[in-house]
Order: sequence, then structure tokens, then C-alpha cells
Amino acid sequence: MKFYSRQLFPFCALVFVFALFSALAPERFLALRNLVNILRVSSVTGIAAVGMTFVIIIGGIDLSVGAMLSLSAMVTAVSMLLFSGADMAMIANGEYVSLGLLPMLGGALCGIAVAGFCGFLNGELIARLKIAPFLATLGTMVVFRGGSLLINDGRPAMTSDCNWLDVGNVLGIPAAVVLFFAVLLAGGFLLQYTTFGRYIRALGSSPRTALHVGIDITRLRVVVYTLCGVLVGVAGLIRMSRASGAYPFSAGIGLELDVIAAVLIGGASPSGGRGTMAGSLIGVLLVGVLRSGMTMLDISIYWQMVTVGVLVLAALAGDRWESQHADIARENTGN
Amino acid sequence: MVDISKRFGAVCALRDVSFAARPGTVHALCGENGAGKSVLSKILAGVYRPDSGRIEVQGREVAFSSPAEAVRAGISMLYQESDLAPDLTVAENIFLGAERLLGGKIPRMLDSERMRHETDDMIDSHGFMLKPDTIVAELTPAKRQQVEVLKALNRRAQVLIMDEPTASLSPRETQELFAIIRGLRNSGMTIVYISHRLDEVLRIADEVTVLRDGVNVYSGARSAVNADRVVRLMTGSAPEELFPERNNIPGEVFFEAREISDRAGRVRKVSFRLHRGEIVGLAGLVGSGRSETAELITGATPLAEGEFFLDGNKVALDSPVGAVAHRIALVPDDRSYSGIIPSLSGAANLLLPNYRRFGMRCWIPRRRELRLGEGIGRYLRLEWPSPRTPAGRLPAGTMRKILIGRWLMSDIRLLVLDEPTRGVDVESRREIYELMTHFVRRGRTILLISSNLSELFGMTDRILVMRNGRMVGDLKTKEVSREEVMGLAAVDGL
Repeated sequence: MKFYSRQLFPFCALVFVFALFSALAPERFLALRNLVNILRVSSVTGIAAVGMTFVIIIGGIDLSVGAMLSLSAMVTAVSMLLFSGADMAMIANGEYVSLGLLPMLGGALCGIAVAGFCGFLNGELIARLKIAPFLATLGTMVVFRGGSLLINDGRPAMTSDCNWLDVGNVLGIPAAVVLFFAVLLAGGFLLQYTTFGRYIRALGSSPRTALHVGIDITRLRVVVYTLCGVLVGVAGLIRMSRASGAYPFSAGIGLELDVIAAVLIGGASPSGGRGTMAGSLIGVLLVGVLRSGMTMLDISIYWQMVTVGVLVLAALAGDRWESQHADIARENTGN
Repeated sequence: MVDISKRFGAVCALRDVSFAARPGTVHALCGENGAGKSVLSKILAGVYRPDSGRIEVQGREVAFSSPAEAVRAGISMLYQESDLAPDLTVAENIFLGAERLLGGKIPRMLDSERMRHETDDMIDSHGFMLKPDTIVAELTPAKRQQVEVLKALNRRAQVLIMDEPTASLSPRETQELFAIIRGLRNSGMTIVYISHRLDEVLRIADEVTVLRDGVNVYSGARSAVNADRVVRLMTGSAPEELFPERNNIPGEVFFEAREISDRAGRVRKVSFRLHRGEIVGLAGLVGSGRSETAELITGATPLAEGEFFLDGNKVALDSPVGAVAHRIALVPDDRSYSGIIPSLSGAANLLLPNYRRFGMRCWIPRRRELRLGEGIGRYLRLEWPSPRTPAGRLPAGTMRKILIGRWLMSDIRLLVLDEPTRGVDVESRREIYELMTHFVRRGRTILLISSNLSELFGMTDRILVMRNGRMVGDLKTKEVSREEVMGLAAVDGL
């Protein structure tokens, strides 16, 4: 029962916020186009949030996902252009280059591979060098951001041809949204029905126990951070496709907060062991609806930041309150 | 295990210890703190690797590089701290690392249904009151232990090592555990039972091994030894008089608790008075509300109702800071020594509540701190390489003495001690008792919470008895028997 009750509150919050915006701006907010748009915008946060859910369940955190997304988008864009026959001077000048299908696929793979490697690096720092996740990823965040700015000397890399992930659709549903739900379902499946999911929950709940039953926790940690990196790479591809290029100064700025917020709002415990994909989905949608609705009501981006921050703190306070409450309840029932 | 040796730095924890356990027996491992019993069992369980010597299981030599390997060889250990993942269910924990898989096209898919069924069968066949889908965090320590036993059985354990398994159990739960242990033994399992509690060891064991200072000093049948003999083997001498002479006369009442209750309902309308210069015992079973009462008096938990009087004036003790300001302090029952700051030096830990008293308000001159620490350390007879040594590296007995000793030189006048000698060797115990006697000599008072009846009878002037959150007895120590106190504490007996 506890499993569901942790998502009950965020779900109610989602319904409430949705109803609120529907009442305040019925024409614009409730328009089908806007709802689809919320999902489309949320797909970037959402795919990264699937990776972050794994990370937070093992008791870790990854602050570098925003910078990682920027780096992978840059690598994707630049390698697509290079594979299509452009040289660095043309990219630097932002000249139009027509992209072939194979270069696009190759570039996408390069970007995802680089993001995966970034995640692997985080994992090695945390699992093998035993640097605290918060600090390790704070460091790599700056490294990745710097790297993404270095590639084209701070200039964006334009890929006007590559927007099929944004405009393309499957039965009228945007391709990005389809991809998001596919990733989410796969993540939920991994978590619920495989030994991988079972082991990461055990690792987050009690690393010592996991070690004693013969789980290679060092490797598992590296795998989880790498997986998070790969998913951030996929999110970066969508982001790049939507913007028709990679903008190393602005891409993924503040993304880590939205992603961590979504996962924590969804009931994952920052101390590890607990978290579900359904919860993270609710969290992603809540953040998406809030941002969209507030933008629609002309509430400034600064207020949006404050709101998301307060939500995260509320989720954290709820987690603490619940765990203390659970102790008292257990002692009273003598169960 | 043959000729096992293990050193940690300069300390030789085990010296050529040999140890053999037969199938279908309960083999007790006794010894004081630091005698090496935990190290020996952790070598057997694959946590540590021995420096020399060899381990044989059923005649085959083995070498474990991890606990998981030992488990695969049939040796499981129940650690003092629970070794379960609290957020997973009973069934998930029992099968952790040994999951049943569906074996379909997708690799590594879990067969949860089957694992639940098998868990149910195991629970039934042992008559445990457990459900496969309960989250482990919601279970009591006793039930978690049952889950750990099932987890070990599921891994086909032939040897089960239990390290202080009764530490957090009530007497009734201990009885139940002993029934489980006997059942396991009768089914041919070897149980290595490690405990400080001599009476328990002698009740359950078939064979006994005694370690002293890392050396095996006795191995043999339980029937060949009695309690006195084992104590002599453990300490290397006859059990001496532990408790110092006391001939103080308690003064007038200075502290009174009137009908105090806490919010969780674990302390209900408890009233009592304390006199100057008195050592008052607080007896009761685990869970009777003793520790909770201590927390109320010292402001660690808020009062739901009731009031406190100090020298006849009503006072609010609503935080530890407030309590210390009223010169009341608590030394909690605390295995992890949260009262000690491990990275600070021993001297700093001693002086922590006393800097002001020694005129160090802001600036702490290092040399003065060390000199003071050295002097006090000598006075308390602390065993430390130097007052500079980080407290985290000091022996358990020394840490316990620092926890109590730091209040000795403060202006605290009511000290609440919760199980001050649990897990402490005999020599340190005697010294702690001396410190306590010292403390009350100048009209100060100690409230001593203890599960150890000889300690209560050896040290106190008066014994308060709690049961189920209520105060059920207030007795003069000289006028009661142990049986009376036990009878009050537990109607259903031990």
C-alpha cells in the first residue's frame, strides 16, 4: 500500500494544478495543441528523468545531466555536419549544410556514445574513486559544459535539416513523445521485472547487504550512471532536433534541477532504495504542466524557478516526514 | 579452522587459533570485548582474510575473498546489524542475489510468483509469522532475524554464525529464537553462537570455545564447564569483586517527575523522586519505557503531559540544551557512540561540555587542552596512546569512560546513564563503577538504567521498576530480592 501512497500526493497535486490552469485559461491551456505540446516539451526532461530515477534509487545524484545534454547535442550536431562533408570552418560560420540520412544516424550515435561515456566517467569517479556523487558530478558538470563550449568556440552548430524527431509523428503523436513513453516503459520493466532492477533497489536500500549477497556493487553503480548518460544523450538528440541545432550556452541550463525535481516529486527517496517510473512520470508532468501553465499566464520564468524549487523542498520534507512517521507507526503497532 | 592468525596494524587480533565445529551442534564462542571472537567469525564468513592458517569445510580447504563466496560454500552469518535491504519485501530479501528467473527469451527476468510461493512454503514449514510481501523496514528486529535465517537456509547454509543475536530481543523473543536455533541444530546445521551473555551461552550451547586476547584458551563440551569456570577462562582470573564499597547517605529530594507521559504512549503517567547523592536504578524489560523516560528527563523528546520539579520549583526540560542548563545530562545507550566525535582528539572529547568551566570561552589553547586532557586521562585511568589520539581510534571501553568521565568534572548534578556497561569488558566495567561512585560522592545523583541485575543490585540505593510504560515499583535495594524485581518487571516471568 505504501508503494502507491507515495505517489498519491504528487498525483493529486498534478490533478489540482491541471484543474487550476484549466480554470484560469480554459481556451488556451486546454487546447489539444497545448496539451500535446506539454508532452512534447516534457519528453526531454522525461527521458533524462528515467535515467535519474535509477541514479536516485541507488542513493546517488547526477548534477551534470544538463551540461552532459549540451555536450552530447553539440557532438551530435557537429558530427552530423562533418559526416555530411562540412568542415570546421563551415560549421563555425554557421553555413547551411544539407544532411544525409546516414550522417544523421551516425551523428546521433556519436552523441549518445559521448553522453554514455560521460555517464561512465561519473560512475567511475563515484564507484571506484569513491567521490561523493554530489561533488563528483558538480565537477563533471563544469567539465562537460566547458567541453561543449570548446567544440565550436562557444558558437552554436546549426542543423536545420535534422528536425524529424520534433516534427515527425506516429499516428499523430509526436515522435519525441513516443520515444519518451517507450523509454519510460522499458525503464519500468527493468526496474520491476529484472534482476537489474532488484539489485539497484537493494544497492540503494543497503549497500552492505547487496555486497554480502554477491552483487558487484561497483560495477552496478557504473552501469547505472552510464545508463543515465545514454538516456541524457537521447534527450540531447531530441533537444537538438527541436532547436535545429545545438546551442552550447543555453542547452540544458537548469535541466538537472527539473529532472531531479521530477524524480523526487515522484516519490523517490534521496537516501536511496525507493522510486518508481510511474512516480517519475507524474513528477515530469507536474513540472511540465506548471511551466507551461505559468508561461501561459505570463508568470515570469523567475517565479517558475521559485515554484519548482519549493516543490522539490516539499517533496524532500515529505520524504523525511514519512520516514519519521513510519518509525512511530511501527513502534506503536509493535509489528 | 586451523592456526588462524590475523593482525590489524600493530595489533595482533588472533594468534594461531584453531576451532572446529561439528554438524548438528551449537558451538558457543565466548570471550571479552577484543578477545577476537568477532574477528574469528568474520574470517569464517569471508569478511576478513586471515594472515595465516587455513579453513576447511567438510575436509576441503577453502579461501574466501568475499562474504558472498563464504555463502556459496554454505557459511552464512547473521551480523549484529541487520543485513537486509529495508526497502525490499521479505521474499525479495530472501532471494536477493539468488533470484528465480523465468528463463524465457528475455534474459534475467524475475519469476516473482514462484519466489513468493517458495517463501510462503519456507515460512510455513518453520511456523514463522511472516508474510512474503511485507516490506522489511516494517518488521521488528526479531522478525527481521527470522527473515535472515530463511535467507541463509535458502542459500543452503550448513554453518550459521550468529553474532550477539539476542542484543535487541526481549526475553520472550529470545526464547523463540532459542527454539528456532534448536530446530536448526536438530536438522543437522552447525550454529556458531557468539555472545557476551554467559547465561544464554550456557543455556543453548553444546560445545564452548573461549578466546582470550586472541588465543584459544578452551574448547570442549558445554557439560564440562560451569559459569564460574568460563568467567575465569575469559578474564584469566577469578571473578573479582566488581562493585566498589559505598557508604554514602542520600540527602533530601531535589528532583521530582510528576505523572510524565510521552507522545508515543511509551511512558504513561510516570512519577518518581530522586535524592541528592543517590544512585537509583531503573529496571524493566526492553521496551518497558526505561530509555524513553530517560529521554524525557533529559529533554531529548518532548513531554506530552506531566511536570518536573527541581528543588521544589517547576522547570521545563524541553531540550537537551535546557536540561544541561538545569545541570541534567544523559549518556545514551549507544553502540555507535554518537556522543563521541571520532575525528576530534580524546582530550577534546573529554572537555567538550566543560570548556567554559576551565575558562576557555572562545579561544582554546591547544597546549592547555592537551595538558588538561592528559591530567584528566590519568585521573580516569584512560587507556590511550596520547590525549591527541582521535577518539574514533580509541578502544570501546575508553570511549565509554570518556562519555561518562566528561560529566564527572562538569557541574552536572543529575546524570542519567542508559546501559553504561553494555558491551564493555570486565576491567572497564569496574572502572566505570568507580567513576559512578565518585560522581555521587559530592551530593550528585545518578539514574542508572540497566538490564543487568547484578549491576543494579551492586550499585544502587534504590530500584525503580517499569513495565509497559508505567512505574510499578520503587524499592530499597537492600530490602528486595532479584526475584521480586524480576517479578515486577515481567509478570509472565523470564
